Amino acid sequence: MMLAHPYHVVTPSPWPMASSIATMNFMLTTALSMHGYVPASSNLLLITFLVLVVSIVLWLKDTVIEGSYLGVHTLLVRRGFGYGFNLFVLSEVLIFAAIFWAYLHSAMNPTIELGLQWAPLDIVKVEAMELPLLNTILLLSSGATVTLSHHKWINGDYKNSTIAMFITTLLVVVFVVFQVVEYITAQFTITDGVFGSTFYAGTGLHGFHMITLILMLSTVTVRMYFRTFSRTHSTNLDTTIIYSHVLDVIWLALFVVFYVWV
Amino acid sequence: MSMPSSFDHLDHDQKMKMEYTELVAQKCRDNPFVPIGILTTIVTVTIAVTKMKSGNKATANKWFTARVASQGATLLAVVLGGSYEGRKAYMKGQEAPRSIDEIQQEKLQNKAKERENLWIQELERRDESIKKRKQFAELKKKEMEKMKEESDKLEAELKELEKKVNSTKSK
Repeated sequence: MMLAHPYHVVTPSPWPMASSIATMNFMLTTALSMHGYVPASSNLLLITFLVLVVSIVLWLKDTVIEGSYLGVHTLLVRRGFGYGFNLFVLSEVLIFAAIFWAYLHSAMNPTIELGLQWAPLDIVKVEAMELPLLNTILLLSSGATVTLSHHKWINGDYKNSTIAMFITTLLVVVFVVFQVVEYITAQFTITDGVFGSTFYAGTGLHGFHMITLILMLSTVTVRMYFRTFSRTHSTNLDTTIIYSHVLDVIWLALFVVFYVWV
Repeated sequence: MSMPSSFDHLDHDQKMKMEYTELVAQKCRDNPFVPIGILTTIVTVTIAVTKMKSGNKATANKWFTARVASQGATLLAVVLGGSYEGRKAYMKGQEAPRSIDEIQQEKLQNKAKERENLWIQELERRDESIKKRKQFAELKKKEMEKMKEESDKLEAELKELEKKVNSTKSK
């Protein structure tokens, strides 16, 4: 079919509605189980999460088909994706700016309840030179491998590029696992005053983003393996690379401010 | 392991009295490579993203490499700065090398000591207030006794007057 314009007019699709409802279900179930309305033994949380993942995967499948096989992602459409993604990244940076603001506001003005000191009295903080340092090295390595993968892709070495992207995914998975270990072994919780709140809000938000990054990286690795990208037509790859770099830089700032300068 | 820094010669109380802004400023002065490294990393990643947006992927990749390099350099600055401060303190004999457990133990002890002091202060405060309340109660008790004496006296006077009135009436 010949189109008279370069835009992608989307056909009716159930996925926006399905994923909206799945998101709402997941959010409500999470909130209700946190407040004890949903028993911990029920599988509702897992079911709603799976429904969400399935609707995301199916939507993604449709998008990949549209982009790679139907050819509706023209240069103009991809440019739109680029703008959208960059605005999304900007909003992420601003969310983190807000959290840094909250942290520094409390750090520079520790109230009497905190014992007029930062980290507050009785808080045994996480030592920077232990797990956080290892995590920082892991993220730095993932930054190096993702850059290598990008370089190889640009130069047409698709096999090594895919391997490098796979290693990146593994490194980020290890990072998230270590972050969980750090949370389990930490001697303070999110309810331990403003220090606990801001610390877990900052590192936790970053952690959530890392989980999203794992989903993005694994999608990209699978797509690289099946070659649904080309050297010039790789919006998904480009956006994932940008996302991973931005999250790495945010972690560096988090590491220095939340762990080293305490 | 705790990160060695130029504050190690200060004792726990002195360190805790430092304001966070002072602490950060001091840390930046001690190791200016850290803030410089963070800024360089942020600038390089921003340039890389703008290059990516304009479609110049090879240049963007170079900037991303620069970002990884500057982040690595920043991390190195954090670690080397810490080890330099640790070594300096060791050479001055201010701090003998200690195991991680010892450092952690000392920190916990300091916290416990501080908590104990605060608790003692709180108990003293409570003691003081109980004493004050006792004194106040005693004062009031004395006042009440005085008032009772006065009222008894008045009652006796009243009775006498009534007697006098009754006797005059009967006459």
